[in-house]
This record gives sequence, C-alpha cells and structure tokens, in this order.
Amino acid sequence: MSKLLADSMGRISIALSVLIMTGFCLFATPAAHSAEIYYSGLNQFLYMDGKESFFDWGALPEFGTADSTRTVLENRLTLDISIDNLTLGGRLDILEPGYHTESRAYFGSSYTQEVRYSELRKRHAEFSDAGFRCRIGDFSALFGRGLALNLFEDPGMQIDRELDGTLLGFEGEKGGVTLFSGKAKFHNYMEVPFDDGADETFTGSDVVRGVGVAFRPGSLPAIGGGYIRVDDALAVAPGGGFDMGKRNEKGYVHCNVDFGIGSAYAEGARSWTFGGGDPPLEGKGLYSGLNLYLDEVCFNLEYKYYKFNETYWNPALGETVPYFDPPPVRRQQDLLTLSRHYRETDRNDETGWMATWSYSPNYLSTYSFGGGVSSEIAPDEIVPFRRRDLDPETELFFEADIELESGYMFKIILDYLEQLESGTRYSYLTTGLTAKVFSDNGYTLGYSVELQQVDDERLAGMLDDDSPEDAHRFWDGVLTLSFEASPWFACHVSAEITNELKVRKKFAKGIYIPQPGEALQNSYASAGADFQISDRHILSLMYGSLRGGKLCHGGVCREVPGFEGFRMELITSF
Amino acid sequence: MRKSIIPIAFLLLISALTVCAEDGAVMPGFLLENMSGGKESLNAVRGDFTGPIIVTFWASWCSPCKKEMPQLQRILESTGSDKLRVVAISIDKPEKINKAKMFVKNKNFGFTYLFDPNGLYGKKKLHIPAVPHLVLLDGENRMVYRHTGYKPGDEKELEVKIAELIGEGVEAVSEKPDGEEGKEPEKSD
Repeated sequence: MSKLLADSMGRISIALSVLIMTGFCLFATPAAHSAEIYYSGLNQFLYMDGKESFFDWGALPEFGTADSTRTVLENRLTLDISIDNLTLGGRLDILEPGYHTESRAYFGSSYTQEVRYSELRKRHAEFSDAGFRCRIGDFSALFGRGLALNLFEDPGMQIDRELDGTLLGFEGEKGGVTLFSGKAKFHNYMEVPFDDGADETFTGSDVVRGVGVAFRPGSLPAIGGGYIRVDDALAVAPGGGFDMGKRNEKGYVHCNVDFGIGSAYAEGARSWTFGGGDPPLEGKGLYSGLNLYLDEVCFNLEYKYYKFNETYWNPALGETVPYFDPPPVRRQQDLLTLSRHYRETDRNDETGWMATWSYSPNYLSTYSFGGGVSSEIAPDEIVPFRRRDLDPETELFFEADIELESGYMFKIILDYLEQLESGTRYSYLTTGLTAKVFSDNGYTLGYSVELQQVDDERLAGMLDDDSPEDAHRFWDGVLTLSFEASPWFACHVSAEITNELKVRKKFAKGIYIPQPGEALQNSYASAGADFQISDRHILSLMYGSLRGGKLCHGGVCREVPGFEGFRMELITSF
Repeated sequence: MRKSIIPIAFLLLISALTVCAEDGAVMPGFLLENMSGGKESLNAVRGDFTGPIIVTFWASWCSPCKKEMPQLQRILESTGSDKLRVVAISIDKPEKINKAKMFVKNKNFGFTYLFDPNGLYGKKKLHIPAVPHLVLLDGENRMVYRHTGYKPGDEKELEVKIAELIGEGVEAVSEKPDGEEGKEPEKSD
C-alpha cells in the first residue's frame, strides 16, 4: 500500500509541478497577448480503518459491510489558460491507490471491477467570440432542465456523464443553438467478459449526437427543442458483444412562461429505440410545472407522465428487464430529515400530479403542505423489477420548520400515503428539535433530537407468519450533541437507535429487496471533529459507527457513507 | 523514510498552490437559469456594478445554508445594495428546482437567484466540496475569499473581507447591537 501511495504521490507531484511551471512560465514571459490562467482543484486525502457499507445494484440488489483499511487520495485539478478568445484547458483526475468493488456475477461470470485512475481525463480547446462558441474536447450539454430528457444528468461528483467530441454553439440574448457530436466521456460499461471471440477487456462508450435550439423572445414564452441520437457502445462491441438493440433517438421540446406572479414550465420528449425489436420501441415523457408567488404564500403544481418503455433481453437473467440507460433510474429521497428511507421511484414509467403550498412567516420558519396522486404505468414485463406496486397511490404531506425562539428550531414532516385500490397505507412521521446556544465569541453549543416512525402496511405480506401484527412499524432516533467555535472548529457526538433491523429480519427470505441506506445495526454511535485549518483546508476526523446518509455536521452538509471504524479526511479546495 | 517524504512533499506542493490561489483567480463565467426561466451570465449579473459580489452555493435540503442566508441578507442590508450584491446559486436537482424557487420566493431576500441543477458549474468548474460554499468576488470578479460550511459567527470574517473591498472601516459593516450574535434579522416585506 505504501509503495502504491509513494508511487502515486510521485506521479502526482510531477504532474502538478508541470502544470504549475507552465503557469509560471506563462506569467513570467512577456507576451503581446494577455494570458489569463484559471485553476481550481479539489484534493481529498482519506484514511480509513474499519468496515464500510456497500450496496450492490446487481441482478438481485444486496447490501452489506466489508473490511476496509485503506488510504485514498482523490484529486481533481482544473487548469484553463485563456489567450484572448482562445482557451486551452484540462482536468487531472487522480484516485490512488485504486480499490476493487465487491465481486459480483455478471453475464454468467464473476468479476470485480477495479476503480483507479491517474490521468488527464479532460482536455479541451475552445474559441469563443460574441456569443459564438466552438469547443473541441470535453463538454457537457443540457437541454431544458433534463427532466423528460435526462441524458446528461450528473447525479453526483462520482459519476461523470460528460462527452468528448465537438460542440458548436451560439448564445445570444434572444436565444441560442447548439450542435454536438461526441462519445460519453467515461465508459458506461465496465469490463465485461464477453463470449467467444470478443475482446474481454472491451469498455465501450455511447456515441451521442444532437442539436438543440432555444428562443427567448422576452415578453413571449421561451421555447426550445431538438433531437438527440445515441448509438449504444455494445452494438458495435468487438466480436459483436450482446445485441442489446442499441440505437436510441429522441426528440424534445421545452417551454417556459414567466407572468410576473409566477411561471410555468413544460418539457416533453418522444423516444424510439431501434434494434430491440420490430417495430421500434416508442416512449414518451412529459413534465409540467406551475409556480405562483402570492405574497408570503407560494403554490406549485406539477404533473408528469413518463412512459419510456425501454427494455432489453438480459441473458444473465433470462428475462426482459428495464433499459435504464438512457434515461437512468432516479432515486427520490426527499421529505425525510433522516433521509434514510428512500421512496424510490423509477421515473421511466410513472404518471401523477402533486400540489404544494408553502408559507414563510420569517426567514427561518417555513410551512408546506400538499398532496397528489401517482401511479406506476410500467409495461407488464418490467413490473417484477419495480420496487413499487402498480396500485395507484395518493399522498398527503405536511412539513414545517418552525423557529420557536432564537436558537430553537422545531421540525416536523408527515408523509402519508394510501394505495387507492387495496387501501394499504403507509406513513412516515419525522420530528426534530434543535436547540443552540450562542455566545458573543462565536461559540455555539447545541443538541438535536430526531425521531422517525415508519408504518408500512405494504410490508405485512412479506413478514414471516409468526411475526407480530405490528411488525411493519419501525422507528429510528438520532441524538446529536455539538460544539462549534467559529470559524475553525466543530465537534459532535451522535447516537442512533433503531428497531428497523429487527423488523427486516422477520421478512420471509428472498421476498424483500433491500434499499440503500437501510440499517445494518440496531444502534450506532460516533464522535467527530472538523477543523477548518484555513479557507481552503478542512480536516475531518470520525470514530465510531455511522449509518450514513445525507448528514450536516459542523455547518457542512455532505453525503456520508455508512462506516464503522476510524476515518480521517483532509479536503483542500481552491 | 524516503516513502514518507514524498507524501509530505506532495502536501507542501498543494499548500503552495493554495497560497498562490490566495491572490484570487478570476471567477470563470457561467450561464445559468434564473428565477423567470431565462439564462443569466456572470457578466449580466455584474453589469456596470463595480462593488463586491457574494456568490453562495446552496441546496433546499441543506439546513446550514438556510441559516446562512439570513446572515447574508443582514450583511446586504447593513452594507447597502448599492455597494454589495448577493447571488445565491442552488445546486438542487432538476426536479427540485421548483422547491428551491418556492423557498427563496417565500423568504424575499434581496438576492439574485440562479440554478445550477446538474452541478455543471459549481461542482465541476469550481470544485465546491460541500454546501454551503461561499465565494466573495471583488469588482473585477476575482475570488478573494472562499468558505465552505456555515457556523454561527462565520459571517464575521466575511464582513471584514467585504469592508476591505469597499474601503470602509470594519466597524461600519459589522456593527451589530450587543447580544445579537447568531440571531437572524427580521424578514422584510
């Protein structure tokens, strides 16, 4: 490990030195044209010793823990050099030493993927002048908000869907046009052991081409539209690969109207997948939303209809399964403070509407309530892979952040759902109280208590026969004590207790499909400290067990993985 | 021994780089969706305004972000909108933009609101490690101060930086009645 670390450090040092020297040379050399250098970076040095939670989205999703003692250095360093209208740039990405994912079965073979890189993964040259833009190299493209047409969504820093190719565009006050052609920046297929004669190390990338136009005439509605074609990498894999049917074409339109006291937005797409059968699979998606702003009350109405129908024959499973790419699965994980129970929806095949009212009497307090109806509209062959029933369900929710007095906040979230045909009900109730005492010197002492109760009648049918009747109810509680000394230090002690695991164990084996973030233990306890060494350096220490999720400690919110043991992380951003 | 020197050398190199960055690189340009659904660039936000601009990245699920915003509003009120501007850029996902818009409309802060739903700008270009993440720009769009996270009291350092930029005494900007630490200003209509 130390050799790997030392080697990687050496390579990183050399690469950085070259970049820095280039920058200094440019600064130091008198030039007829002025050069501007922009660089930014994110360096994460992580040491962990303990057990790490993982979730495997395999054919049968499962989760667990694995021993993990490692040192990871993850760097992103961006350097752009601009001379007049020309910009040259790149991004150095380093993850050293790499790590291996859990072994999993794929296409009949067991394999492990190594995640490791140390290379200039992005580079580009761009000429821009008076709204015109020509870029060669890496680029990203987003049409509308990516709601119905979700090709280029970037769900997080770890997954990068940018393209590598050529982009031409013009952006003016009244609109713009974009044309591009490129390959998905990173491989969307991992190293797959192909059958006879195929290249066993093939890692392919989709080829994407598109054109988009937008008009923003000012007083009139802004409209846009375009066309995108995706040629799947596996369709052209060496040796043929598996014919997963792969050419997808999409046409889309989007429209936005701003009328002073509110705005409306709609986005629609039609898709055709060729090669998976005759005639081609057709799909469509529509998202529309209306916002009204009436003094202190805001109203929002959303309607969606996503039915993309995309499936393929999976030889490993011997079944037709949903084709997630594109558009990918999205997970919905809102409404819950504890953000542990995902109400997961595969939005490729879903319709429904939701209305929300929101009222805010002051800067810190907000009250929201609303409701709606949604239903799954997946084709029959996809249903077994959904984690929802086809039964339409209605939902009511109430959410409030209330400032009781200075420093005291109370939170309540009630989410109640009922399946309309079966009458099955399930609900989430989350309450939280946060109290903080401030001093004039920037010291803050605080505690927070969060309780969540889940009552999910849908689970009743999955339980063992000898389970008590109320076994589908479970709860979760988190107590956190914190101390903060602005701006340089924060620490906390946190404990979490849940009976969720006991309930899960009563599920009949093989019926229940676990979800990411579910409890692996009955209790968790951790202590952590964050040192803001400077504006650009944060050192985080953690010891104990942590369930993971979206957590806010020391004034910073991040997605934290489940972990048990010791973690030290040094983050440098500049 | 040799092996341990290399990581240390690397960290020193990174530190040197961050020190160099103290001078403040010019913030790269952006073109992001605004409240009315149109597109707005950094140049458009700047216009002919020559004072400092606070750019804060936030999310509707981030509670420290929501606590930081009233403090930024207080600083904006005490400094004056003719001397300071605040731009709040949401990194909420596309399907959460409406929620983010409702939140800020309800609060009625005096900010400019922009939306970076896929993180193409904040995460990829600026490499923000977490939210809230605050960037202070001088009159030439140089990033003179960056800060991640919000704890009550963090705003003091920001106020000092702003005072330096607008060339006034620190007291003039950060002056606050006794016992008001950590308290949020009243919402204005």
